[in-house]
Amino acid sequence: MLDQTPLTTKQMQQGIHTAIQQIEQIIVGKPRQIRLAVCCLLSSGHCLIEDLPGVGKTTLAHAIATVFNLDFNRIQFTSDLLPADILGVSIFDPNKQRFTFHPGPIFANCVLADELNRATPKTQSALLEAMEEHQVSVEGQTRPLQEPFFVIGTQNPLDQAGTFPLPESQLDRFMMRINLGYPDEQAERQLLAGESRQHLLKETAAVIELQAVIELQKMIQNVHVSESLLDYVQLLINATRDNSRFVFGLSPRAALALLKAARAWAFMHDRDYVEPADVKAVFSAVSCHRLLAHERHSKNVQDLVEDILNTTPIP
Amino acid sequence: MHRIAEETADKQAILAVSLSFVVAMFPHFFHLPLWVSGFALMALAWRGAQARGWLWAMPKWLLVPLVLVGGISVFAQYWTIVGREPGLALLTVMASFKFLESKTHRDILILVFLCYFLLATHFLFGQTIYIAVYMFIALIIITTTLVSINQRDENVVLSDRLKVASRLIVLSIPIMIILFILVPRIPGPIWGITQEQRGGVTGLSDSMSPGQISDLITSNEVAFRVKFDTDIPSQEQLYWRGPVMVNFNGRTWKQAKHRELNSLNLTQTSNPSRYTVTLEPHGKNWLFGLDIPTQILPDSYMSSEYQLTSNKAINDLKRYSLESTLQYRLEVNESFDYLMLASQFPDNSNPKTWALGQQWAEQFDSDFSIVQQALQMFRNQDYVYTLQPPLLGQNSSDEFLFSTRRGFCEHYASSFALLMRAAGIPSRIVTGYQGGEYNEVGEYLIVRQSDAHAWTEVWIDDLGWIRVDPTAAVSPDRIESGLDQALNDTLANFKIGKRNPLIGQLLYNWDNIQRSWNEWVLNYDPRKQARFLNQLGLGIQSWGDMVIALVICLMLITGGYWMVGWYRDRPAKPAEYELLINRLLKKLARSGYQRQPSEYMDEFLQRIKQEQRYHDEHLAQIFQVYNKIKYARGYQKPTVLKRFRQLVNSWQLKGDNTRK
Repeated sequence: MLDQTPLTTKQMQQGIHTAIQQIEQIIVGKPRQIRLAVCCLLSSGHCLIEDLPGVGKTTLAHAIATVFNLDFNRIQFTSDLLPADILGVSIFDPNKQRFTFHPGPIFANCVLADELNRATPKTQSALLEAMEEHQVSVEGQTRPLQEPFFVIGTQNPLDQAGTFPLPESQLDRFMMRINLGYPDEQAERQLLAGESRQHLLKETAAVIELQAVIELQKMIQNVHVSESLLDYVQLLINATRDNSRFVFGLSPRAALALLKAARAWAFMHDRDYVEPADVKAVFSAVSCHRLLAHERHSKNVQDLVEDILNTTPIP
Repeated sequence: MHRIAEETADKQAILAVSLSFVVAMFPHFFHLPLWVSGFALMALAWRGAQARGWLWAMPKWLLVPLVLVGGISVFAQYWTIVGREPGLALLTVMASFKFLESKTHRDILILVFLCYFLLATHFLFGQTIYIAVYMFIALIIITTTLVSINQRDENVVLSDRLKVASRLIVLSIPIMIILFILVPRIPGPIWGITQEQRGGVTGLSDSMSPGQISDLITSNEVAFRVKFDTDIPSQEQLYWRGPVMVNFNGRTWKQAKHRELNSLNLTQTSNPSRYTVTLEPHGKNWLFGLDIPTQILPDSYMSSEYQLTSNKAINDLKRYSLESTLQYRLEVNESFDYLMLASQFPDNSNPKTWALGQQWAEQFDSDFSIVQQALQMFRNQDYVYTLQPPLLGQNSSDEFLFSTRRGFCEHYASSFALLMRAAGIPSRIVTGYQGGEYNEVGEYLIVRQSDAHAWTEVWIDDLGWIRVDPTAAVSPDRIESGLDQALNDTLANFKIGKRNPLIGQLLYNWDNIQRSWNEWVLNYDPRKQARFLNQLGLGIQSWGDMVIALVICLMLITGGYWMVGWYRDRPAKPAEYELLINRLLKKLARSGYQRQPSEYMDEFLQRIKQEQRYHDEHLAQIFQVYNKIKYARGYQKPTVLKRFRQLVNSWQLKGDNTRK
């Protein structure tokens, strides 16, 4: 386990590779999605997984938490969930004759917010604010959350009755949206034939120490971005704004998130500089959930974003 | 825009503008009454404390009466508010009130512009190169303030703002020079404001009593500079004639009332010397010329004592060309009244001097012998030439001649003249300068206040006025090699060349710069302007031409700046590695391997490998290095670029598609 700091960049990168391999043991057949999720964690973002129940959202979250030795909490969002249920509450302690704060499930390194769209907007925004600020204000007191702080939100795209889907402006808080989808035939076979995932998870050991994750997040900020690459990023961002595909284009916040993610992606691929390949790899995960296609388009957002990638020249 | 102007000014802005104000005002603190300077500084301090929240803002109802009091105080100080000093004092007091009143961004802007205005007023008080340099630095500081208060970006640090301001100022220098050269000139000093009587300017005075010149001697200030057209005469001939004094009251010599010389009758016995004098302002009317000037300048006259006198006091740098003859015989008729005046010996003063003169008058039969006798006495008895003579009492000549025997040129000249008068020979004192220091850098002569001198002239029948310098008898060195040679032990050496040769060279150069400043900047009058423009040969003659030339020049300069900016911001030429890779990609495209513009290199490579079965390790390597050069840090080095060039040049399209 990588726990002694400081570590060299090489050791760090090696650690990430091992971690990804470990997760791949548990989530079979989804290498890309796993890498995107890890990329999201390393670039200090949050991740939204939108898919049907039962495709392994929870298992993925759990696996990441285990491998990176993160404190893991799961919050099942329901329509009667209150902000205090997430953030925590002060309760009078008759023995000590004073109020003591009982931290909510959000006080963890990795929080799985399951079925986000089932809760009321009030509760949703309590979570989203915490995600943005990395701190919560409860009863007039500001309490910092643990670092690293990584939220994996899940949404069920179907089954819309009695749900409050997050609007695009709120979805912006998530760095990426990842679709898991059904495993392919081979992977499903492996899944069916193999051990229970719960059991595997228990056996999996942490690969990277918590402190090292923070270190990694800092290291990734120093990954070099050249002028030519910025040119490319701006071309991509402008392409979402200029053309008539989308109702509105990507925000500067989205552009920053794109760069952050590309940095982490480059680092995960053993480079200390970002190439267009990195930007391309993370672009659709970063941008799809922030964009809304015009209704006249028959294509969905995903395809339109791919179009942009395929038509924007690399300068 | 409007909203920004109404914003409340922050602490930094107040601090910056206060600093600018102090910088703009600083030299003025020396010519303003103490209370004005004090008030200004107190206003700044108050406003600063207010910005920090230590003091409250001055309320309007208090400010209005205070402004009135301020104005009245200035009036009470000068009994006018018109003119240089009163105007400046009023401006300073009002600017201080503006500080107290300032609240918004707009107020601060007004204060900055006031600082610019105050800075410009320094030229009303002095136009030396030092002031110009100071103003230049101050200009940069004030402009930095202007940049700072308009710069809302906190990330732009002070040094960047200073850079912006300095660049602005430096870029405006060519415009400044063009304006200086081409704006039509008005003859005379601007607004006639420097005509005011100057105080505290060093120079000769219109009377002479013991000890006066030796005060001057300790001053290193330049009296005037002389550029000779003809050969420079030797040191002992360099008598710069100034005020002539003939009235003696027992202690002090004074000038007689001037009579204008009608015609100059003299016989020259040598070629005339021609030279140009640049006289530093000294507040009096006289001009200096080599003994004896043979020309009369415009706006001036020559007195019957051959003293050149300007009609106006010399309050600005004055430049004039003169012709002098060094060996001459003057006309021999002098009015009886004047000779009587030149023979005056006040009763009951200096009895011993009187007695000695009388004795010589009986003893010798020719006036010449008496003069010789007196010089002999100075030479042979133990008279000492010193800058620190003992103080003399009422009968200064007696005490000097018979007891102390230590003195300076004025003691010798004065005693000698008195002795002559006692012996019946009319005599007078001539003050002026003697000698001068040659600046080999600029090939001109520097005459300093320390060269101040006094000598005598005696009237000999049939010969007229003859110059006799008794100091030369006592201390020939003073005349032949200058002051510090004569006093080699006492005072500091003023002559530049006598010091360390390197420093001497530097000082000569500096003096030369000052002379050029005088000549080219301060003396740039309509005549000089016309001559200069004529030399340029562009046919600029009238005011109209100047204005047209001005407009064209300004357009050229701003156009030039625009071009430079455009050239800098032009799209950069593609780097060499981009050209190389483009060529390579074109080659590939011709062979059917077309890269899509949106494909990155590995993607392209992957695609042609999969779809077209084109596998090329060399190409992969080229693309890898290309990516590093383009996107990584520190790969744009000549060595890497060279290796990349080699890689690309040695690449060849695989002839047959390699199949696995």
